[in-house]
Amino acid sequence: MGLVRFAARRLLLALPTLLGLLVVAFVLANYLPGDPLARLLGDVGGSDPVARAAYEKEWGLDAPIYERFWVYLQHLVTGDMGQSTLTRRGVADDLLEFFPATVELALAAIVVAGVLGLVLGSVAAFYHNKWPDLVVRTIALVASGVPVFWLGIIGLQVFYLRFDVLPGPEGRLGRDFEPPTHITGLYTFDALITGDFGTMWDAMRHLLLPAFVLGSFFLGLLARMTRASMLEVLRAPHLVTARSKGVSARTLLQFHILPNALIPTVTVLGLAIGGLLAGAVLTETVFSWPGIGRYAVDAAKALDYQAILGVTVLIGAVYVVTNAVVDIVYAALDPRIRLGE
Amino acid sequence: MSTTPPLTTGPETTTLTPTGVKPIFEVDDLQVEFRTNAGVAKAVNHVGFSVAPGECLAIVGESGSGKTATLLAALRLLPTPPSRTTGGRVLVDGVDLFSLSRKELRDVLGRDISMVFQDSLSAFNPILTVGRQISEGVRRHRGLSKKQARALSIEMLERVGVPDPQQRVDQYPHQLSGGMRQRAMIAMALAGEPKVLIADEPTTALDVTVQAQILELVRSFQDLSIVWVSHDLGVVAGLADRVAVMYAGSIIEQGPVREIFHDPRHPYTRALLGSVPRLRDPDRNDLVSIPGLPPSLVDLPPGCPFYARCDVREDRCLSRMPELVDVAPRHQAACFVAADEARTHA
Repeated sequence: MGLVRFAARRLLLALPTLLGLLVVAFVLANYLPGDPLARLLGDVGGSDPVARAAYEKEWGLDAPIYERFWVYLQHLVTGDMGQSTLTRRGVADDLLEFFPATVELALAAIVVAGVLGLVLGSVAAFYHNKWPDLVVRTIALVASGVPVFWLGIIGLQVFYLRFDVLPGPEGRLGRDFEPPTHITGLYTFDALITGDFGTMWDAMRHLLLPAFVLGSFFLGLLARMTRASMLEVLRAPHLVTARSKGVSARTLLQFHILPNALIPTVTVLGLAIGGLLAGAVLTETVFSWPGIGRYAVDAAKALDYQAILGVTVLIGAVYVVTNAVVDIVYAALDPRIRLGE
Repeated sequence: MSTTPPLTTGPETTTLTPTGVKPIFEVDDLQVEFRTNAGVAKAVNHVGFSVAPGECLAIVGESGSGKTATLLAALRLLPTPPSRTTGGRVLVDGVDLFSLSRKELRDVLGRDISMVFQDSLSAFNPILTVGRQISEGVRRHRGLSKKQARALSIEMLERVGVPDPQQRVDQYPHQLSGGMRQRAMIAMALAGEPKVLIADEPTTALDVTVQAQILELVRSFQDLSIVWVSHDLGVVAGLADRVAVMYAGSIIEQGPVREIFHDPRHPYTRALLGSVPRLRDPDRNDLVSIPGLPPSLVDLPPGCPFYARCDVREDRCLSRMPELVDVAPRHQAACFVAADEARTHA
């Protein structure tokens, strides 16, 4: 079975990438400018060499970097990502708390960008050089050209302040709602499972605008990619062959146009997952969304190195894993990849 | 669209087929234009031909002479835009393809008439198995089940001489060699048991030994009517019953294969045959080419399109396009000079 072997090989290849990611993230965090000790010990303690030495000894900061990396690695394997100096809690616990909010936001953004991008791109291709094409191309240009924070603020201006149809920047739920029982941490999903539809509706309303804003860049990108690959397929010789056999219009679309055109967009969709997590930093700040984007911003402001490192490692790992998954999906869809040229 | 063609557009097509046989495939006064940035290109100009049951007609001509455009337009497979079929009639076993709805057309394509393409790699869908693609058209025409369709694909692969059809049927196009893939494409075209097969340079991309095998295969289908498009005169000589020569979007000569090769009348056909390199001719060591280039299809001259390159041209050739006229039994040429010669010899 070609696909299983391909998947196994691809996942194995992801391991060295992950290790490389850890090294780079650790070294970068170590050499970031700023003096975390000064911040931790205050102005007086920070300039006192004795206090500094004592602190460095207590936390193992006097050891050489490769030794510290080795210690970090050993702890990481057991799920311990160190202590946050900001929250005074384990970084792993912090991430577990903040990550679901970001995942929910990113998934919603993927759905928005994916569905709209594919539909708009297809429409543009089918009406090539006619007015729908022009409209889609304009939307795509604006969607992927406008900065996220600006779009977020404008969105709030229009839909919250002006027309008051969507909630303001108050996080994931309105004040009248309690978070649903924690199952996955995704409020909409948890509320659906526990049958709490009022909470689900409120969570969805809070999700809509941030998801749109966060997904806008990839919406534009996907629309343009779908349009381009659809146009290519519509001109492909194999389509003439299929038509010369007298296959039905449905077969043509379902087997000869859509799959061929959508394969390239799978790649973009996969990259989008990583990009959305990273892009969440701005969106979450605008919408007071309690995800790891905001956590990262707070950690950076507080020079909370352990937390910064934790967020970097987490997002990087998601990137590496989604990339591997995308490659596997690609292989499942395209026999030329799976079976080798 | 199916109005009677004006009298000047050439002989009755029915007179071209062997005596008394009703043609199975008939193209009449076909005109196709392409919109390009440079203007409207008249790619096919009043082209007409017909094929009798079991007959093989070869259409020859250099690249861009309109061979492929003629046949794709005849089967309504050219994308519109940029192309536009501005006139003509195409009959497959008496059915006018241009009068059919899209749905009715799908019932004819792949069942009564089907096509084999030049580049088998791009002509197959890369992400569907060969077997699926072979029987896909027939599945709809005959309402076959998945299992029956697969059995048919295997049977077809076997008929065209693909070894291990049981395994090949589940493979993807890129896993087959070029020759195998071309065979598979022939299997695909023949799966619906069509009456007419249109082959658009199906051996051009193959090396010579594989080409010979494919030709042998095609020759074995004796009842099939074939339109074979090629620029390879050697292939045509061994395969065709009749030959039509195209130049700048028009048929300028057509007749029995023997006559075309041994007694060509149109100066272009003569020049074309003269440019074929021969191994055994001691007097000829150089490659002979026809001086000049074909005219731009965007800006066709009112007269004979070959005028600028012709060695027997006269002033009258500039005034209008000569019609196809009989120069011998079942042999026509579109040339004033050739027509005069034929008349004086008769």
